[in-house]
Amino acid sequence: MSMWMNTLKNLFSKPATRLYPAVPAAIAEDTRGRIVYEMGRCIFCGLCERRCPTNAITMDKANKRQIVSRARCIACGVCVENCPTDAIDMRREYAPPSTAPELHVYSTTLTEHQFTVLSLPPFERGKGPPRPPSPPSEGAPVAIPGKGGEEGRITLDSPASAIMSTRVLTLYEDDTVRKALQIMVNQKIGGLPVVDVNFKVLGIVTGTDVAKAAGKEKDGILAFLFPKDGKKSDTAQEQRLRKTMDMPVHEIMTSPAITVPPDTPLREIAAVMGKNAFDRVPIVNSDGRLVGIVTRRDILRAIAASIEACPP
Amino acid sequence: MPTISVAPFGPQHPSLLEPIHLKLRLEEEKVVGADIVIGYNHRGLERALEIDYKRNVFLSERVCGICSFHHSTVYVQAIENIMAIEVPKRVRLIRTIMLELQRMTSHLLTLGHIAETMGYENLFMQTWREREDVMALIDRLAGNRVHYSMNTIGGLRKDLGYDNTKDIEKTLTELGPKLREIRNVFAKDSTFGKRTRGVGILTKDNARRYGAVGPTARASDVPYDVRLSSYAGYGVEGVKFRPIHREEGDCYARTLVRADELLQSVDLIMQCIDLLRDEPILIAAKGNPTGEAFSRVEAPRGELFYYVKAKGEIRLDRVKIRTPTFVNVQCLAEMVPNCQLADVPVITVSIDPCICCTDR
Repeated sequence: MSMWMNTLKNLFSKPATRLYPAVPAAIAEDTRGRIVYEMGRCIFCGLCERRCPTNAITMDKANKRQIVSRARCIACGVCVENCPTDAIDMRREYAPPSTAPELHVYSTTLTEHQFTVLSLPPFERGKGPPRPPSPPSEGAPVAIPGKGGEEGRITLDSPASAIMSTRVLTLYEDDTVRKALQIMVNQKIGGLPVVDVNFKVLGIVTGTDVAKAAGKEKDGILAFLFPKDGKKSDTAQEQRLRKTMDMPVHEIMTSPAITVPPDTPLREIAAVMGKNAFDRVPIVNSDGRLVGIVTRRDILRAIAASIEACPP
Repeated sequence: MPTISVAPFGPQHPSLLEPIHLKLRLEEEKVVGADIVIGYNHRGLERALEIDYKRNVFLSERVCGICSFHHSTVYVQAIENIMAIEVPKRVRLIRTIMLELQRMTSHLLTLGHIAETMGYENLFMQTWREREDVMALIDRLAGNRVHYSMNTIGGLRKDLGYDNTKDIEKTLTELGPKLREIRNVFAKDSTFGKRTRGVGILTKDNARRYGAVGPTARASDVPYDVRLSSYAGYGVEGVKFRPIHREEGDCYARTLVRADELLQSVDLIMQCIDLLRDEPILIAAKGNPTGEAFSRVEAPRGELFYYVKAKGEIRLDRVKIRTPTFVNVQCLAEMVPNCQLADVPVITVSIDPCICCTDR
């Protein structure tokens, strides 16, 4: 009986639905709609790219761009939480509809919160949303005009910022020694700075640290990595090594690490290296944030360049 | 000797929202037996959940859209067990509030779906109108209607402020009488009663034998409810409830158990709001998990079970999900025989099958 009354009531009352799109949708105050970048604040630390659960964000540091794949973004807000400079904002509006997968490209050359849309070819079957081309690989020589010596050459008096590598592979303090070793072996580098979430340098882990931790025997770590003729090492040693591999790196790292500001001349860095028998020195800015690293090889290059610059 | 013909029901069927396939053996209009086929929606999520235990919080929500918060809560609980994190009482209570709100949306969806399946469009519209109020409330609380993304390992990513709790109280106080009205329609309407009373009976013995869970079991006089195991806020002192159960075991009982649980959810949320005290909402987790754990919650459809094995890395060794529909759907083989072909959609929908979870 009550449903009869209900039917009659509904005949003469206002509709419960909204005449969308004539009447806009009601969006709540805290709705997570889409993310926007304010590129003026972005320092290209890469935290958003690394923490994004769906790999929706690609950082293009060389061209100062952040690329958001719209089809991948799930608007979870992890990047907003992790951004150290509040460069990412969660808007309560939804992105306009599109018919093809698109990338939103935020660039320092655009004004605040503006982005250009890069349309991609439609999905290939079974491949998911296409990803943007990967940024140029590190290690490729990049000319830095006007940053070196007088004629743009690198000399021992150039500041560290002229020669340092700016894409630094880092570790967090709770990463395992196994991960550190994997990165060192795969990337053919000898040491990694350990940083916290704000990119403050806590210490440095080198191959020597790992070897020291792995055992006092002179060939402890080597025996573990390259067992002789398939002969098994004794179990106690093996167990200790496995335990070492699972240790967090902050237990074995050299701390505190000696760091220098970016305007330090290479000559001084070379002196620091020689005095402490270091192979690499992290470069930090005035906020204590890691911005680059200078290795022994960089210094050697600078010496070679300066010899060329002033022939005998 | 009458001839037996076989009619397919699903995986594509107008009355089903999700792909489940019943091979019905018919004697004229009467059903004599059924084979159940699932697996049309397999996405390999258990494997995908092994890749990164931190990102899983978001991925586990996407196992199912209707009980997303239950999935993320049960996953987060398992990891918290492994890492021996004791979350504060406030986190447990807020999780309970969101779990119960989601139970309300899910039950209202099912009630509407049952009404729609038997052609009762008016009741379907009524039910979903009230559901929209709950969905809008969740949008205001969590920032999204379906995937709340509120959980994280060791606590919550978003707190409920004073305004939010007032909002919940206001909305639910207004909603309470409407829900009671809907419940009474389901309980007393003669059209509804004639289509559901005595249809698709699952006896108590069969419910136990098949291991039925959730409202399906409780409608067959098996008062089994995982909330009694005191996870999240259900174990906090001051939160009281008693599982609702009925004895008939037919479609009518299953619907009424859900309708009554709606009112119970409102009551539970009010209890939790009264107990909220200022406390931190996040305990930082250090390192990677090592070990194994299982965890259970009472999802809207019944007991949801996760087993997680971690090996001290970002990757997990194994994640096993057992969803409530996986067991409930097998009970259909006992419910369907001796009913009319026209009743099969109603019986199928009355167990509230979520094939999306089941096939994961």
